[in-house]
Amino acid sequence: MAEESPLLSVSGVSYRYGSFNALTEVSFDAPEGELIALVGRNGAGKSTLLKSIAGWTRPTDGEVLIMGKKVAREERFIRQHVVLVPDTPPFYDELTAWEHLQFNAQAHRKKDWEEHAEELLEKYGLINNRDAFPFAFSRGMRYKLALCMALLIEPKILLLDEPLGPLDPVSADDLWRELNGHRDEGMTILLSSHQLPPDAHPDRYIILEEGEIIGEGTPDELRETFGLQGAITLDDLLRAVIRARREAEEEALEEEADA
Amino acid sequence: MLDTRALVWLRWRQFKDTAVYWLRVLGYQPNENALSQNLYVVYLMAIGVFWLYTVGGFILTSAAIIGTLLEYDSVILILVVLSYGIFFAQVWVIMNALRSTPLKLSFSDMAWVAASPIRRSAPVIVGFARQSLIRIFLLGIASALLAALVHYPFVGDNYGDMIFRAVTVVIPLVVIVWGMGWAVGLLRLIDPRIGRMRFLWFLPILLIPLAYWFPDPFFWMGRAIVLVMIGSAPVWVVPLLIALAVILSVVVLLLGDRVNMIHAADESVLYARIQALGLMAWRNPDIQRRIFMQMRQAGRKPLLRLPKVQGMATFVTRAILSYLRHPELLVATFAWGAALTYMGLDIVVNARPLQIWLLWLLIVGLVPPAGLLHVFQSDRGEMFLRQFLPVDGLQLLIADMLLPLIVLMLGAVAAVFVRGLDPEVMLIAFMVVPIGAVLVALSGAVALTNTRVLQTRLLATGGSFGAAIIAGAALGTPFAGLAVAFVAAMIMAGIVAGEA
Repeated sequence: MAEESPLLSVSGVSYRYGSFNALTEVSFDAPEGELIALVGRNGAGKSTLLKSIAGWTRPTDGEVLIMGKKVAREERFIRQHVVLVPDTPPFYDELTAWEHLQFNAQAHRKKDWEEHAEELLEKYGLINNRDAFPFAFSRGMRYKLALCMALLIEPKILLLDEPLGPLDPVSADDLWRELNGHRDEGMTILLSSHQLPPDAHPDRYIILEEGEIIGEGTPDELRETFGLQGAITLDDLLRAVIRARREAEEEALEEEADA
Repeated sequence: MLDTRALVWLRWRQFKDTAVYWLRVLGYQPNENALSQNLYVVYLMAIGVFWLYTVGGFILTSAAIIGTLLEYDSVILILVVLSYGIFFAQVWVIMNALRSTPLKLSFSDMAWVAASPIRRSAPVIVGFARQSLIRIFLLGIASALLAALVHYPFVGDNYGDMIFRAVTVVIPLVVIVWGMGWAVGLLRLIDPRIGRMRFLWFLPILLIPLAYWFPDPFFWMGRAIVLVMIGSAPVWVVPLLIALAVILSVVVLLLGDRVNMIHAADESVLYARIQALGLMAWRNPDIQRRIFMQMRQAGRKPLLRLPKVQGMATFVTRAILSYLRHPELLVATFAWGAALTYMGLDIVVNARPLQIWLLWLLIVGLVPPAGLLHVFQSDRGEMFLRQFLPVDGLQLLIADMLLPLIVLMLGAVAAVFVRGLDPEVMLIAFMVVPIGAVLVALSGAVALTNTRVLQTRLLATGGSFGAAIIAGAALGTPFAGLAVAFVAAMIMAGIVAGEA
């Protein structure tokens, strides 16, 4: 039965901080090898959703399944297949950049990891800083090191919280290219952002507003739904979706008033 | 002079802002510019003064009563140690000043004071005055207590004058001790050749053997202070101390004008980072410690390498490497184990009352060994790092605390040997040490699984140790206590395995 389950299944996930609903009944599935952009304004619930998927927080309602296994129950299994990189990743003060990768690889009993680690550091421009301590890195370098740590253990699902914020435009373009490569190799990537490089085209968008999914689909589907023309930019998409939502809310209010 | 006045005003405003913050905690509303609010501040101040007067009086009287019980030889010993202590404090202050600038600048000071065209002596003299005032206040309290404690053989029951002399003499003492430190430290900031000597700060240690061979020139100040305190100093001693204090203040002022502010700012980064945390630095000392450790680590090459091993061995070797790169954590853990075991043995051997047991338990719960769970805390505290560790909480705890736990036990064993016990009692002590160390570790680990860390640690420590002590005392055999401790350890291990 487990083979038939989607790689990631989020069903009816809600999260409340006191009386504030950070997530309300969020549901979607993700198959293997898909790059999903989770977009929304600040405070829309993107980070909370990613944390719920990674098992960092326990949803108030609903459940998250990875390969048919419940995140809340199979903590150890989840740790081998899901990695979340937060927007400001912390590091060990006592280990160098290289030792962070070594520690991860050895803890996961990876063999022949050194070549892969060097390749990653080279790719993300950290090879000359391999013996430096990450607390002395810039924010962008820290994010890149965190990504290397995540990619080294080759998770099935990679969750990235605001990956493009700390990066310069060139690094952001490079990262996007790399993410496409990992997606083609079968990794499912879910990234939250409110900005994407101009040439970035995710397979699917999930748009969150006030903790609810207010739009979801491939670029073509969204273009059709919201009447957008040409290549979709994130700005256009967000504006169109939020405008549509406001119009719908106003209509509902008018109907209520009429009634 | 105008520059100094402006800076004094700035510091006064900063002091006032801090005071207002604390008053707000007590209900003061600074935005409501009403008479009632001003009256409320006066009321709070009156309460504060009353509290200080009554509690301070009580503490001083208690110290004086304890002092009457001290034997003459003990009092003399305390005063001799005091005179040595003043010399060692001087060495320590000079070492610190040679290591890092005595003029500490916050980030805003770097931007607005160090970079402004004011006379450089202004921030130096204001900084020196501020630092001296704080020390005079704190050491004045300590000095008053000490005077109350040792008064009896010199002045009998009338100890008021002695306390007054003890507090007053602290003023020139602080200015001389820190003035010397500042003068040496400022010289380093003036002359780049001195600044470049990396291990110069070790040099004052040489004064210690010199003081051993030639005590008079090195211990004279400590002796002078003691003589002033007990009222036996020759007439010229106080004017000499005051003259020295004034001369050193002038030296600091003159050197201050030639200080290189870029060096001062560069060396103040650590202080500025901690100062920028504000109250957070006081509320969360771990952050302060982390900043200290990062700054120390940043200047060094990484010691040793992470060995190439797999699985659990990786966790153990990584934890050992972390501790070897910060050996001070192991030293602190050893000292903690030794001190608390020594206290515990003293309580058992002398059959101290229950209150002393409670005090011991409170210390164990409130001030745990900082190094013991250092690695576990960093693994457990950051979800980003924890997600890469495919082991349960207990496995992680065992790997992370293996080395410090051994060090803690070694400290405890050392205390058992130093204390010197009968062979039978010693055997029991050696059985208690490992289970006690494990209970300390597990109590701390259980606390880290909860958001209310302090309360949980107190509860876990009190519950586990308390139950073991009660079982041992009630059934009259230490083995009952050991059995209960074992059960408590099992329960806590289960919690850590499931939650961490």
